[in-house]
Amino acid sequence: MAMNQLTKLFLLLCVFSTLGVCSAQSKRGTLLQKNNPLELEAFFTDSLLYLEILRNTSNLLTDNDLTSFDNSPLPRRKKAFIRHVKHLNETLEQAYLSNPKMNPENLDLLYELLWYKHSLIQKGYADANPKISLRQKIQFLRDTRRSKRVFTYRIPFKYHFPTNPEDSPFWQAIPDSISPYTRFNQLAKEKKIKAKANMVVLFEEVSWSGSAPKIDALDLDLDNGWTVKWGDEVHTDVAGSRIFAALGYDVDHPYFYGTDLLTLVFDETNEVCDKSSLVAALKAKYAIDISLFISAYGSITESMCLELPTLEPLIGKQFVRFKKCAIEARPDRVKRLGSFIPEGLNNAERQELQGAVLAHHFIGNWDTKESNTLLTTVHKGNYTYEPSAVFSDLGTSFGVCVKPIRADFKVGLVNEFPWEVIERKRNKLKFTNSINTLLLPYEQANYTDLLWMATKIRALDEKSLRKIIAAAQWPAPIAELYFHKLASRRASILTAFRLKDPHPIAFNRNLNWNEGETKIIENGTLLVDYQRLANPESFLETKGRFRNYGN
Amino acid sequence: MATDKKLYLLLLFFFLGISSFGQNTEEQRKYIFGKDTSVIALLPSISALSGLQIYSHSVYYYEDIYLDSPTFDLAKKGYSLRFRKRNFEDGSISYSMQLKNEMTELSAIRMEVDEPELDFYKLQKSGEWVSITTVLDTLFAHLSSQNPAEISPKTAASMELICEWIRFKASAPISPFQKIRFLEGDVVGLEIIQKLAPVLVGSSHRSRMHVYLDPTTSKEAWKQLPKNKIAASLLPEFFRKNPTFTWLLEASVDASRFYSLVQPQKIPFDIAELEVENKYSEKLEGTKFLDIFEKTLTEDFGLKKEYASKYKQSITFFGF
Repeated sequence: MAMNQLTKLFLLLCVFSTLGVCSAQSKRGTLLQKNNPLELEAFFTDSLLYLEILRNTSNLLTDNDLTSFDNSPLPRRKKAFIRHVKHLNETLEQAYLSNPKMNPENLDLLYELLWYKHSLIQKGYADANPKISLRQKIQFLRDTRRSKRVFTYRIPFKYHFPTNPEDSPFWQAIPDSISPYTRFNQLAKEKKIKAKANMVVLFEEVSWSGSAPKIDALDLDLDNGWTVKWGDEVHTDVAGSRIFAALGYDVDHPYFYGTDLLTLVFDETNEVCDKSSLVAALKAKYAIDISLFISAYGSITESMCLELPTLEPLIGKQFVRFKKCAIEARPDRVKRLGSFIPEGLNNAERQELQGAVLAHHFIGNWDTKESNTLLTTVHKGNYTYEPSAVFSDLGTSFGVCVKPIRADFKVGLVNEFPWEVIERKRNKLKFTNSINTLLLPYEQANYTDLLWMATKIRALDEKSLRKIIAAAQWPAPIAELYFHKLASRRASILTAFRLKDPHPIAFNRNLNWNEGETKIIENGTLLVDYQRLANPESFLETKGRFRNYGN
Repeated sequence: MATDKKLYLLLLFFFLGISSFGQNTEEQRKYIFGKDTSVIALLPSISALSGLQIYSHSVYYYEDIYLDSPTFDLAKKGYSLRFRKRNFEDGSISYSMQLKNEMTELSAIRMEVDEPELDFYKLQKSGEWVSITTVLDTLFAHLSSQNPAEISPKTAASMELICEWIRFKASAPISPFQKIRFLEGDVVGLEIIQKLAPVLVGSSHRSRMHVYLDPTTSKEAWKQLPKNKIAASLLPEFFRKNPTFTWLLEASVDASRFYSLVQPQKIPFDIAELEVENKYSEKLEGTKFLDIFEKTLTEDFGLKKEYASKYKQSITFFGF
């Protein structure tokens, strides 16, 4: 099928969408683009569906006896995912039998299958190579350096002011009628995530991924999982994810828990069965001593149950509580595949992905590697599953210090978080932020993509920003400094793009904060290692996770 | 102090652990008994002699359509493939397609590959889309036919529709078909699938029971056995209500009748058998309990061990 036919189909789809005919796509939006990937063409000849290729794809996605693809291992496919793919396949087969000519709705479903296929293959490769190689590390540093050059833009003399892309699994418009802040909670509700004020979770195992110490745990409902994390990302991940959600993206769902608000309970038959074995296991895996983060431990007593009745069935079990930690939801309704931008699907051309690079700059995110993009399926009930692209692990942000020689990095260093994101010099824009992976959409982003995202950042008002920072639960002076810095960064973006600000947020670059006689913040700079005992990761110490936060 | 009972039970089962029963396999033994033997009536004695508790919990009604090629390739290769309709006591119905292999004297482990939902598979009947379950129901209706020795035109038409659907779906992502293609290779597997047609239709009244240990009454040596590690969501209600009990085996007494769709004039074949399946997460310990139970059944009550599936027994009876 020629490309112009694909374009026609796309235009036809646009018309259908406008008329509200494509009810199946009105919920999750469309995946189709102006230039659809060439691989889609293999599915049909002269707009007739090629059943064999459809089935080969669906079999690959559903048959767990197929354990490799092109000599690369394939991960085990989960039941819910298999069920969803079979439903998609059957819809397409029935369409084939009814009217084999391809229509945009079915083209969209084919795209979805193809997306899953590439993501699954990418995940298989990533699972087989879980450790970041020296070559990748060198590439991270190269990209960090290249960022300065790449993220310089010439302002075009003439350009069309960008409009929103169509809603899609990559990005969804937030109506003006609702506060951007509420988007995070709305997404959590759709995924049936319930983070309680006092959480009790059951230890499962030490996590095998990532560089920050974390474990996998199970909710008391035994259906939903949680990842518990410690270290320098416990505030930043919470804030970063909420900002991305407020801009229209889907995200992971991290929550901060302060002193004694999360109880981790152990099973005595598990190898990790108490405080000592937890500390030892995390030290062995991550070389970090989390004992400084522990506030209480021992056996669950009856008196503890008076304060927290949900502990009653667990009396006698070993537990640990913490000074601070974050938990990230792993809801049963969400199945995680691989990257949402696997190669070969032209997704790099999407405005919503190209514009995302400005969102990364806004929060000062450094770790933009491919594995931090995540394709998921969300079970919406009644046999309905929807794909969604999740921006994952947004915690390497809000002031990052990278030490290449020590192979270490530290995040959440408020003094390292610049007051401005962007400099405008004559007809050029230059960003201050560096990222470790120049993914294709970020590298290909142009002025109008960034301008579009700037309009989304403009929609963040003071109330939203305050609420996001409140959710991250930084200590009061640090939170205040971050608020002023984010407001300043937002203003720098709007100024650089010459955007009018409908609700300017006041900020003070010379912020001062005193506690008694002690100057905590002076002229916008944090002076003291604030409450170090309560915050063992420190907001000043540049030694990161690979040097035990200098402890 | 408020106690959430449901939460308590859930947690209890969590700390019993999560089971990892082998996927797509089951360890099963079968025993046949005469039509005149009421195994149900013998249960209290079986329980007393084996030392294992037995709880009868439900009665189901199953309807099955078995598929094979005209030369019975599946049977020759030791497989059985069926559409199954389960009619539960509460009136609910489910349909599935299952591929199993034959048990042998060397191995009681049976492969079981399920296509657990059939409702969304549709085929065209007289120009209209109908669910395959509707067509299957027409075939199941043959069981209540006034004259099962004759295939009605309606039944014949439904059989042909099913065959058409199978031919079209031979390479589709349907789990039993995927498994046949995997086991036999794509070319041979496809050939076999495309020739499949309904050969048997039958129904079974199944009385199901849990075989378990009650720590208050079990033998002293068994009291030290680890608890069954099985996810709460997979645990039957009886064990959720009695969390101290250990689920060991699941037994079912089947009274089945099968009709040949190839030679309908043949008299129906009746099977009365007891199936017992290992449900204990400590698989080797579970096998020991299968042995204990078997000793009582065979030595004390004279039941005869049977290795052939209902399908294999039936086609042997019909002389295919």
